[in-house]
Amino acid sequence: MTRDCDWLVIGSGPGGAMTASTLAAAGHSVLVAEEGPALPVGSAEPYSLAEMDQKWRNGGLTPAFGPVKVTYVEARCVGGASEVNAALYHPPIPELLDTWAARYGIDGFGAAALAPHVDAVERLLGVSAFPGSPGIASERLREGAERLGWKSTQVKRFWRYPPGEPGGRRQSMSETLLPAATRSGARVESGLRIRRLRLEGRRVVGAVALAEGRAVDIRCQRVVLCAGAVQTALILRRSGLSVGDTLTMNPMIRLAASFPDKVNEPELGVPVEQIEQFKPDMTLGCSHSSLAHLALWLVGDPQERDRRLAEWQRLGVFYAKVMARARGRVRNVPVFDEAFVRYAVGPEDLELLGLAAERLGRVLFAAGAEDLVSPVPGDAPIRGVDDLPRLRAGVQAGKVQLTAIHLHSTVPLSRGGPVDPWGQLHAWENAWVNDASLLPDTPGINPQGLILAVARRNAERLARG
Amino acid sequence: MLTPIVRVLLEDLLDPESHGLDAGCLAGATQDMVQRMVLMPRYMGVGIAAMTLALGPLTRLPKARRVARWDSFRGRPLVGDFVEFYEKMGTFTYYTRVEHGA
Repeated sequence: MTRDCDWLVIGSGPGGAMTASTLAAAGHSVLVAEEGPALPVGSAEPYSLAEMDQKWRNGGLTPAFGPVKVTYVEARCVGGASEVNAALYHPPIPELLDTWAARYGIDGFGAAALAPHVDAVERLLGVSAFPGSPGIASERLREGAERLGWKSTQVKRFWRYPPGEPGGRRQSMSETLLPAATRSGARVESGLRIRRLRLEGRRVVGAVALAEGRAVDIRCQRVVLCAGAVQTALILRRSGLSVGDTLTMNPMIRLAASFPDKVNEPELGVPVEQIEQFKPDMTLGCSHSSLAHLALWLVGDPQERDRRLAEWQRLGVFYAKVMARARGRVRNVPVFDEAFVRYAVGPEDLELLGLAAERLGRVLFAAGAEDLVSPVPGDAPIRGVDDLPRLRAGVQAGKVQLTAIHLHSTVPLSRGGPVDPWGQLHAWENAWVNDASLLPDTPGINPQGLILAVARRNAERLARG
Repeated sequence: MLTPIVRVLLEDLLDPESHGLDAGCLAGATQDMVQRMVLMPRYMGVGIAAMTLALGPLTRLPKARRVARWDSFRGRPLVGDFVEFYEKMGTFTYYTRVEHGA
């Protein structure tokens, strides 16, 4: 089997969808290769086991190895992470962009350069506030922040509210930029896994792919890799390029809190209130808190688990996420041909996570929480503010498990790095990267808005030729 | 071959004192756990499946002795991770079944 195209875009998440729609709108012939399936937004309940099986890589079981276990997640479906995340939109932080431009020597970058693209992303993808009450968990977190004199905010979402649809519609890539790309003539092929690129000298001439277990030979004039921080690095490594040693992520610690009254309304989605006070170094907020997710954070004492779950609507899962300094590595596991990620959270990052957990505890108690379930399995609950030093001290290697949902920086925009300031790989004449891999460091906040803005900046330049 | 061993592991780790799990949810969660081994990275799934089979003979012990044995694994390299995997994912899959019906 063969495919021919002018531009091959690998991956259909935010980076790939923005690249494909921009190139196709300019009249280019584009093939988007997506490894995962094409499924509608509502094909499974958000964050459920069914959704993990359908749309997450490895059913959501993707670990990063190191002194502290970090379970990260990657989407694997048409639309990528935009189909399965909370759809939260954080405008890029201008000071951070300017710092990156200077520190990493990125020409044409910075707040002013990206501003028109940020505006376009907000307009194209219906960035809007949650209408009406954001829910009880959000209200509690806001009240707690007010009592402590901390700044909090309702984070906007990639969401539109058409007439007759009170719940609105998630503005994922499969609902927005990918249909726009296909209307402009792009082809989006699901179930097409790119294994490596084919090279002739310094030119990429195609890709070796698999579809339904059969080899597919793709011929292209140019390629843009947008498969996410792990998979983009993996494809490049299999193609002979040594990248992937600079992975960043935002590790987070989660804990469940009991309140005297109902706080849990999973039907509202992920609560949108976040503590702004410490961003971007740390973000405190609410997580999805269905029965199964609550149970996961109550592991340790089965009787205590059952006692608490009997009144699950009084429980909520909350998180503290930090801008970690550690850098990880992406490697290909021979024979199995899968990613192996190593990420060594250092003492500095654990200290920051401990402080973040303590601050999360403070705001939850200020919000009226009765107690917190310790993130250290088997430890006694945290009963009040005086008990918070114990929570902080428990954040140690071997005691807690961390999770991460934002991975970046494996092919960073950086002077002396593998790409030029627009994502073109130095090693080859006709290959670019345009996804989370390009971010030179972790932005701390949810990166989808930033990834889309950077991708638009780069794709417009590619479209002009 | 895996299913009966997985079921015993879930019963022991989720309900060590035999307060009673829902049989339908337990059966569903058992199938879900076997499916996890298929979905997870193969270099891990193969290892977990092999270790599950290797521990199969232990499932013939009385429950109290089995629970004590799993507890003795905690915190140890590999077998500790194995117990943690079954405890956490088992809890998640079981309560998914409770939430949505067996």
